[in-house]
Amino acid sequence: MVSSHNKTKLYRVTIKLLSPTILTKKYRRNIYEAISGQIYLPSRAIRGALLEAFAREISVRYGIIRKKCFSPESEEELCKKLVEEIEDPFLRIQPAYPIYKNIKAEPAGPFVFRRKMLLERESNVSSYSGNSSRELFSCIKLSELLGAISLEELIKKIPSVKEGYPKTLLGKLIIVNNSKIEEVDIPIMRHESTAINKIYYKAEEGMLFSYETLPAGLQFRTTIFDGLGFLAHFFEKLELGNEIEVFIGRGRTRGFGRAIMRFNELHIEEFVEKRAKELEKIGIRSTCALKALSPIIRITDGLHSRPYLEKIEYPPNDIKSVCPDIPEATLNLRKLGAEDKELWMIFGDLIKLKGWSTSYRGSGPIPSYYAGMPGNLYVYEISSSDPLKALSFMEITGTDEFSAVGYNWFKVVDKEEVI
Amino acid sequence: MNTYSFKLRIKAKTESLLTVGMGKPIQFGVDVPFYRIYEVDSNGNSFQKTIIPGSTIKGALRSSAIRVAWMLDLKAEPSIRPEEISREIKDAVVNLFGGPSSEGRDESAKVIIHNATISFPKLIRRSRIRIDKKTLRVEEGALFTEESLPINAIISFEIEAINLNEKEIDLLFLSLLEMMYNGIGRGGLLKIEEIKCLEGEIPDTEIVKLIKEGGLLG
Repeated sequence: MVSSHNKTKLYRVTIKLLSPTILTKKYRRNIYEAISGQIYLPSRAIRGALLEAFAREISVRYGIIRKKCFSPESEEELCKKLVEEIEDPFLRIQPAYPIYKNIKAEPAGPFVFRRKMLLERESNVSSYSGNSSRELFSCIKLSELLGAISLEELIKKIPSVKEGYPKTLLGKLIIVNNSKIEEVDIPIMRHESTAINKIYYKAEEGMLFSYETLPAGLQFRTTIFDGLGFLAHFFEKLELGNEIEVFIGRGRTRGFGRAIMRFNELHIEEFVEKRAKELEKIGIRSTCALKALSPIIRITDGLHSRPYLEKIEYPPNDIKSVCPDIPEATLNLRKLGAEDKELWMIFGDLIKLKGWSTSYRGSGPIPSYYAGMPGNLYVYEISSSDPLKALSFMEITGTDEFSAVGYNWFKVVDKEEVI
Repeated sequence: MNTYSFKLRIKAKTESLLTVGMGKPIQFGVDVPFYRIYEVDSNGNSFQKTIIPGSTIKGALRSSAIRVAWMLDLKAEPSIRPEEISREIKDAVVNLFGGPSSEGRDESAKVIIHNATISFPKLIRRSRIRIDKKTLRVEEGALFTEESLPINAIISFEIEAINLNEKEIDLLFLSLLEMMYNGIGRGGLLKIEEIKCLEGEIPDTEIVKLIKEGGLLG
């Protein structure tokens, strides 16, 4: 039995947006641009929304001022637990990806392409009835990726420009529907609003705002690994049933970002066994390809970062302390021969991490670092007594302490075509 | 000081044609289209829904609160510009509806106003013209089309109030009453028909008592 700590719980969580949601990538002047392409809810956003929702419930139920719910001096037991979780995060929340055509979307890897032009044979035929070359395709098989020993070998797999100018879809959301790769198309809406002058009741000059929003009704799915029974405790004390109303993104007091989070408890052992069997079917043994679901980062000296983890010692200490039966594993990033040198087997791009924290100790900018982009592929060699089980656990707990704040989440590539 | 948290559902009826505009005139084929949002289902199909955004209602309530604050001996700056909102006075409207955050001051709003849903939204499309103020003739090139909600359309919206003191509760309810005269959107008038407390407890303050006597608050 793995969950030796009887408080350990695993939840499958569905987040449904009830109103348009402003998840901004950046804003220039008065225009708030929605995140586009990579639409997912980062763990940090879900964590914040959940803790804030608990604070609101405590506030309403016990008449405690909301600000005091986050105060370390608070005497209410639930407030103390909230502060503990904020100061030393333990909840492991996987980044939530949207549901499209009833399938959970994922970021495309660097080997997924779309041709910009039809191939010559197709453009000459007026009624082409076969699969169009404009459809998305993967250019490499998992066995080819895992077995590659030189860079040249992989370069040959990349389709040339003569093949209809293919362009990689790295990071864009995709699903596999009836064995076909499809791009996720979520309508983004732009709302214009203006401030009204409170004396003359006319539009205030220079105060026109534009917001791009994700549509209401959009659903996201994720898992939450709760090693200390934190959520179960709150649900019981606040009599919440299995759902809670949360607010995500900007403008929550004026109709944006209202969402409902539904929790469905899973049996950890069964969930992991099932996943391990799926990985076994695909033939994963001592080498595996991991796809990043969140930014991948290792901070080297406080100021600098690396967009990869060259060695992963799993499980991290905090997880190990509550679940000592999780099989241990060491993952080493593989190297690839390239002319006279060796390169890490990482395929993808970089993103810059930055943002703003509204911590209860005072808000401020988050330091900016370069990190690996969601969708990046990393090839690891794994040594463990039970590698498949360890990988299955890694998918629901994250790889290290950084996973508690939303970074370093992977998914094992589990399809023959690398997407 | 005692604080109260509650959730209200407000049901109202339009007393005049009401327009809450949005951009995108080309997309909807009308110069001032009524506000719409996209909704999607789990199959990825999207469809439009006509609503009144929470930001419009919140703005209208805030304007009303500024107008009535003096009745409760509260101070309120008649401005929405962050740089003009005085930090010296204890602005009751900023406390209730939020304001620009500053060091050491929690200026987040104590009320959450949700989008209003409209029962059977059947929009009227009408053409309008601007009149030249000097010649009193129709102004050339100033013909425009606008979508409006008809009279007697039923709308409902929810307000969540968190940790309000008695004065703030009075200000909120008084603002709701004032909003009926102040209007909403492009000159639309609303008549509040029912205020229902869905969750929490509302103390019997002077204004609340008056509203209860009037039969609005159930």
